[in-house]
Amino acid sequence: MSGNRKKHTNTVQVGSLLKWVVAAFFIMVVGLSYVYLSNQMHTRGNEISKLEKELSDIKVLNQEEEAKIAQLSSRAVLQRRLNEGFIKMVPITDDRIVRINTPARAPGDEIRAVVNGGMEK
Amino acid sequence: MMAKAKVRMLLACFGLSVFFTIFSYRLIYLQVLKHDEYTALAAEKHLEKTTIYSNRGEIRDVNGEVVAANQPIKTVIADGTVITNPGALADLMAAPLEMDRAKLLEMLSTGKPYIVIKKQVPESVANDLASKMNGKTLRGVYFEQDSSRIYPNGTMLCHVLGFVDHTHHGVRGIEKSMDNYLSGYDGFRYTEHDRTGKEIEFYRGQERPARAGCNVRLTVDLGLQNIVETELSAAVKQFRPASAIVILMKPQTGEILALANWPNYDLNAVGDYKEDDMKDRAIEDMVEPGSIFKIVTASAALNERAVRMDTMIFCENGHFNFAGKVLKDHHGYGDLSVMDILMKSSNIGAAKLAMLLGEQKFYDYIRSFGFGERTGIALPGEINGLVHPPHLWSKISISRIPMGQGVGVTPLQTVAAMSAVANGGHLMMPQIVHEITDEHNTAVASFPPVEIRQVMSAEVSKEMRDALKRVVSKEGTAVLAAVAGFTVAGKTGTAQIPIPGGVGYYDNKYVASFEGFMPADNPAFVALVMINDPKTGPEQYYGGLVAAPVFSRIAEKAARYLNLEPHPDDTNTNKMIYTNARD
Repeated sequence: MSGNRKKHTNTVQVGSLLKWVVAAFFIMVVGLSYVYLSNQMHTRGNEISKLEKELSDIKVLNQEEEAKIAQLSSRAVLQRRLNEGFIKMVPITDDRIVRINTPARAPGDEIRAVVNGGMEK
Repeated sequence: MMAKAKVRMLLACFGLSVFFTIFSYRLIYLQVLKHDEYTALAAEKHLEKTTIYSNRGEIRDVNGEVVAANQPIKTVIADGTVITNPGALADLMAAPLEMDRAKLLEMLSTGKPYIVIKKQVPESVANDLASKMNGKTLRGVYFEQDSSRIYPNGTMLCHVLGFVDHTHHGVRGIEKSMDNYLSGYDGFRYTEHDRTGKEIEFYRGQERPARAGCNVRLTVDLGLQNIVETELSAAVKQFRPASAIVILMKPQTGEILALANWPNYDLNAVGDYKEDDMKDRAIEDMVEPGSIFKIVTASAALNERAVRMDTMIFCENGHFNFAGKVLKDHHGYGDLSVMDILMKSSNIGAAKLAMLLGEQKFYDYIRSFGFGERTGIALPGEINGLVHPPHLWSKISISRIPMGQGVGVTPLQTVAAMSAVANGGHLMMPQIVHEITDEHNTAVASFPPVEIRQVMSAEVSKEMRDALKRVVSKEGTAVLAAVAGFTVAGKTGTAQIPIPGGVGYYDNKYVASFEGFMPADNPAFVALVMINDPKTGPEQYYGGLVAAPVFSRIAEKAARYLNLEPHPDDTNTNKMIYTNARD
């Protein structure tokens, strides 16, 4: 075997390989994380959107109920229901009222006229 | 050979350079020079500004009872550019929207991107429709949120509340005067959409939330308002007047407790009524007050010490010839004390009191009582009234103005003036708004009582109160205003109605009024009842006969409602069996 013949060997450069593997892994993790986070953001965005709509619907429903309550408890409606006999209220009869004094009666006699038509026409 | 190749290479290089230079230039042109334009165009394609609608604030009475609220409704919109099956949509929508199918189909087939199908659609109908469309996967119709204003009590308090127009802005009443508070402002959100029109939340842009309008709390008590309107309605049925007004005010603070007008109108069906029905006559109408005005004359004379309550004034036996005209009383009186002048409502006596003061001084007092200027109440359309300065008076003005002729006042001005008599001499600004709160119920603005000025001393005020108590007695003109268990003080008025154009007065048309307060020594309220042109029998049109009984009924019910303690000895009409109630 001649002396200038070199021995050809292919050594695996573990350090370099590891460096590339780590870099690739890192890029892969970053990439996957990006995809994952983007997906998460979209999913959460959808959820937010849905919840916002739900909240808005509930607010509208609440307003509608409030409007109904206001209408049903209004004096006009209560009076109508009272007249219809739906709300059973017993009127107080005169014999149950103790009057402190006799109320004023309508005029009878001795009426006196005063009017601001004092000008001679 | 080599040289030729070199030339070819140079030419190729040059060509490529020119080619890439052109590309580079185009790139720079598009990316740099036209950046803003194309960014805007791109944004226009995907970016959308969504309005977040605000709610109008509510109006409540002093106890928090809702008198004006919002009802959520929907507006049905169609996007003709994405509708693929208008026939199916028309079939589905015609019945619930109560629309003609053919007309609906025509609207849906126009191909326009924004077609308003129907407004004011109830929430339940819209939700039902939306779920049906989802079930059948029909596209192109959507619903915009809107709201309509509702007034749960219909006609009650209509002139105070007013109403809103289609843009949700106030047109009359509190809705108009407090519009800035009630309106709030809409918010917005910039959003981006994908090709299917779905929002990409990730690219959500600038956002400003909507701010709901503030809630307005009135000074009006619906319990008292109900009493007032019930009695006013009964009086209208009885007397069939041209118009009628009742105002209840708390004299110490100027707070309006109730304010009712007739004719009235239904706030939920404004279109069915005439403009004249919507007029708030308490502040927009001018009347000659009649004898009610004598409280100003007497207070002024007493405050100036021109007379005392027991000073005797000769009342010319009912005929007073002054400046060539005769001023009459309905009964001939000789000497009357100032108290008697009020009690018997002597026109001649009142004229002589004003003459003792002199024109200028009397005019100063009229203005001091607030006549001739707006009271400042937070309602739109208030007028000044009409009080001419003395240099514009005729020779007989000094004999007519003291009894309430020849001056134009608003009913509210007379209530403020009577309140000054009732509360110790303080002219208070009438208040209709108690407080303004935001949507979280935090106070934004409050309206404390405002004293405009002291118009008479406390002593004169007390003397006037005592005199006005006598008006509501068997000798006075307002005996029918009496309330069992309470002392009432007040003054009647029966004013002739002037013929438009200034050519005298109608012979048979009167404004019958009574203005009083109760309990007389510590009044819980001042009330004015004014019936314009009551249809009565002959000689039955007087304030003491028409308005005083209405006052009495209102005051009695109000006393019960306000839990005022009655005292048997405090009745003007105690043991009284007959009446003389004409003024």
